Amino acid sequence: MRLADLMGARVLEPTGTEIGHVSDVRLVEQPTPDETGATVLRIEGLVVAAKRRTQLLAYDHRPVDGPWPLARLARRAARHARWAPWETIASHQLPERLGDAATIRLKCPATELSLLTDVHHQWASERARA
Amino acid sequence: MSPAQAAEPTRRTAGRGYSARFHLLDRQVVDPDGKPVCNVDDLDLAHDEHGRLCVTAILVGPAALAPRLQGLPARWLAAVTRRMSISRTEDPARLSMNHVTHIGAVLTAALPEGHDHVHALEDWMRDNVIGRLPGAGHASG
Repeated sequence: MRLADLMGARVLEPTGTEIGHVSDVRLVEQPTPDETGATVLRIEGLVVAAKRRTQLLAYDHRPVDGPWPLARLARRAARHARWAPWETIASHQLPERLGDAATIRLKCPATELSLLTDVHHQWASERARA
Repeated sequence: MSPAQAAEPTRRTAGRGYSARFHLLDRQVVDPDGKPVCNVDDLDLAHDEHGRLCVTAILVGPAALAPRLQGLPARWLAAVTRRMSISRTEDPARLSMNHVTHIGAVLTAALPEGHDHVHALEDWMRDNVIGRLPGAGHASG
């Protein structure tokens, strides 16, 4: 499986309703069990953009605090985006032919997912601690 | 943040998070001397013992890039890549993620000896076409 199989994939609720597409994938370094200090890059979850064509202006990985016109634009672009932790992913179906979007089905409705803007600051504090 | 991490803020350490689109895809990979190696065209994923997806390798070349394009351009690039391929498989060139030591503005990879040939078609063109042109030996690059 490749990252390209996740990026741009259609995201469906358990009922089959499409809620958007995967705009980004968040990865976090995890220590390996062998205690050598080495890490593996593990997928933590998916950023789901509400609109098919929205790319969230590449500001979907951190909060934008300024300059204010850019911050307002970024908040507006990401206001409907959701954060889907990997635990909420029920299934992933590859496309039938190259170039088509894959399909991801969630275990829960979109309303149970956190808003991306709410988890941004949590990520920023985790990054500062790391 | 430990002093070691402060001294090397881009070194891969547990807890650091990345955006695939912003921090990884299309970034350049360089060796420890700063010499360009390749670009990150895609990432290979595999399930770990807990069933979570982890990155195992950087995928390089048009065969890796094609699935990232949408619709007809993806199929065209894949078809051209198949016809231009000089390897026996259709799989893209790969660079193990274990070699990547730092992730910052560029990805730094400590490559083992002899592991610097990720552009097979480019190498073949240099050796068999460009290198045989009159004056090729005087090229500055």
